[in-house]
Amino acid sequence: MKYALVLADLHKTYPGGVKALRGLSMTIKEGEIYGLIGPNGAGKSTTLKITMGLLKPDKGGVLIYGKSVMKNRVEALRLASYVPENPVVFRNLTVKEFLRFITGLRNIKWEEIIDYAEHLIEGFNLSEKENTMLSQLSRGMLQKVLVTAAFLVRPKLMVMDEPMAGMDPEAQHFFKHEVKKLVSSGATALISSHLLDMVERFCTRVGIINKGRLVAEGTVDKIKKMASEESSLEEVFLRIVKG
Amino acid sequence: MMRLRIILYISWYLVKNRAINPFLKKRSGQILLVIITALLLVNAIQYYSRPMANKTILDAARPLLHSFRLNHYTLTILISSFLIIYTIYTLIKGKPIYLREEEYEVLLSQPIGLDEFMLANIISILVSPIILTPAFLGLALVGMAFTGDPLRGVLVMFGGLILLLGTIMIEILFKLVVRKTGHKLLLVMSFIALLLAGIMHSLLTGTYSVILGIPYMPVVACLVYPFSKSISLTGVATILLLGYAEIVGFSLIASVLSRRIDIEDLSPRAAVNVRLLEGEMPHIKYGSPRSILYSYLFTSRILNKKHLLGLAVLIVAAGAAGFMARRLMGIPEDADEVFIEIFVPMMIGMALYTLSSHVLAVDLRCYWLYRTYAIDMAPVAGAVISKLAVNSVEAAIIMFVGLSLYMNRIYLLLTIPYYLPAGIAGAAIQLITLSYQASKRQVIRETTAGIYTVEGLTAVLLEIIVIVMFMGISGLAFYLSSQPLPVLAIGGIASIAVSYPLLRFVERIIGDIMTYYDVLI
Repeated sequence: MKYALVLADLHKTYPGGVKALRGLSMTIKEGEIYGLIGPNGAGKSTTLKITMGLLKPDKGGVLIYGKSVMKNRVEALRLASYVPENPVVFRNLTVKEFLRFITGLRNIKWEEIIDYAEHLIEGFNLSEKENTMLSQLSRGMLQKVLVTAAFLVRPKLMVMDEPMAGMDPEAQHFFKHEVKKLVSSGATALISSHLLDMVERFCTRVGIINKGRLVAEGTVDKIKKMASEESSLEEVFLRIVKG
Repeated sequence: MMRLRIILYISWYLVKNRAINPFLKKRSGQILLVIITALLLVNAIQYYSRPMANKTILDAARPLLHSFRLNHYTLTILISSFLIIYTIYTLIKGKPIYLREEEYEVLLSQPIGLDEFMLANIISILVSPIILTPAFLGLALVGMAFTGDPLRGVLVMFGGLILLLGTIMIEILFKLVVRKTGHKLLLVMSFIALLLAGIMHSLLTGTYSVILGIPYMPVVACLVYPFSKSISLTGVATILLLGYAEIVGFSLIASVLSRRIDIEDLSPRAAVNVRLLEGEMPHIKYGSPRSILYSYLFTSRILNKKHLLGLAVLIVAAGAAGFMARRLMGIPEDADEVFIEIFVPMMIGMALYTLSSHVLAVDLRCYWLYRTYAIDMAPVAGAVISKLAVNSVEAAIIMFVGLSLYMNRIYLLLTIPYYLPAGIAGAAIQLITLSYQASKRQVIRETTAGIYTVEGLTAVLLEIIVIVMFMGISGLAFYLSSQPLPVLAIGGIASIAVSYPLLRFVERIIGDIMTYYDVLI
């Protein structure tokens, strides 16, 4: 089994002395849907940003399918797509222009993916907004656009920070369906979320991060057994985080 | 290995996002563009179809410029020296290279090299202003009005573009140098040494030293030289080409430096917000909503060490500049009129406008919170107006310290209190307009962390209104400055006396307006 992602001994301290990561290590195998959960300020977003080369760790390294993000940034990121925590977009591009822009960066011809693009646009109810400037869309709509862009590039690794924030239930359902489809065709997903119910039902493996360290990891069943047979992921999470 | 296709592809979309689409979506901008273009064409036809134009604004202003010992050459050096001061300030502040959040989070998470992004960014900066904005066409009109020649007007417009590009590019270049070499202090000291050498040389020779023109002179000349009729059109075109060549040269150096750029050298603009709020959280005692709001929005902003130190530095700098100017330029006969009626109100108006942007970005960031929890919006309005009014008075102090030393007329300081009620009125206008604009969704959220700015054209109109008002007040100050000293002093006391009731009056009205409008922020 190949490793889709390897995070090795990541340390990160922000200017001002805030220690975000203190030796975080984890691996994700190909075909997994990995849920990263943790309290606010635990280091989830920092982990995801380091994974995508948006931050430089003080120590440690990241490998995406064996390619180092620090040493071989372009080659590594070619295999990955990212949905940021906040829905930031090119506000003066239309939905269609934005999607074309992102796919074009990877030499993907629009004609080759037009059917898939239309499927995603329809699934996320974006058809009527195709020619709308992104500045005029709501937060939930922007989230759908960013997720669409992340799916369209057919990545081998999807790194998503709170991808369902602001999405309506219909879009959430469609999102989960599409992630499962991509994973079944060989992709891998790393999802950071606060929605523990979703993580419990949707992810194949879960990691709990607290104070910059991975404090528990395993399948949902394995994690739940850490407390008792009847515990929910929420109860286990609270027990681990509160010590 | 950088990929040219990707670089050009990214540049195209950056230009589209930054310049083309925003321009095309603004119908008012397009109409203005058509009107200005038509005006330029009509004037060009008129100009070339008659033997010779009459006296131009520049012809009229020439004796005044000469009385300040200013010509195209010395003016270029003077502006260049101000840009050196700005460069020193930028370097001391040590800002990283800021990107828009989407460029950082979305674009840099794509498989592109950081060097490729930087080069694409540089190209987009070089190309973006070619998509002419109404502001630049307005510059062409100004150029034509001053020189009476439409062709020179167009050259002024291109000169303005080159100056803007040049300053942006030089700033990026120095930031890259600091980031790559780590020798920030050395670079700052070099610029200070350059400035001091230029000042010393100027004082010794009694003229503007060419040393003060390094490195900005070629790009500043692009804007100044088209105004001078002593330089032929071919000469001006050559100057523009030289200016652009300097920018291209700096761009190439910046591109080479960006080859080794690190992700930590770049920062999303949300970080600006964090910087703005640094050191905020004043100590606030429990009290009435009014006292809490005033201490948070007014007292803590004015009576903090950082602000007071900055004010002191600016006052000393203004005094030194006034002294220097007297040595270098002498005092022309009509200096009162020029400075007090035009220069001072423009500077105070611009300062107030800049500070009101800060109010939008920082003080009213939590507008929703005030509207939800404040019993009454009047104290919010009152505190913000007080802050802006005090800022106007501070701007007046800086101006008049410089001017009184320049013109050797210390009693000018007695006109400063006039700017307190004027500042209250100006701030009130700003705040009413801001509330109205916010209700019409004419504010732009720049970052997810909450920096807002006012949309372009309305912002310019707002600035003009406030400057015109300050011109009126300055006119009054100018009139009173020729009266006996007791009259001047009584005017000052009356201004202070009238300020408090005026503040209470406008804060009530604006508080109601802020409650009434469905404000977006």
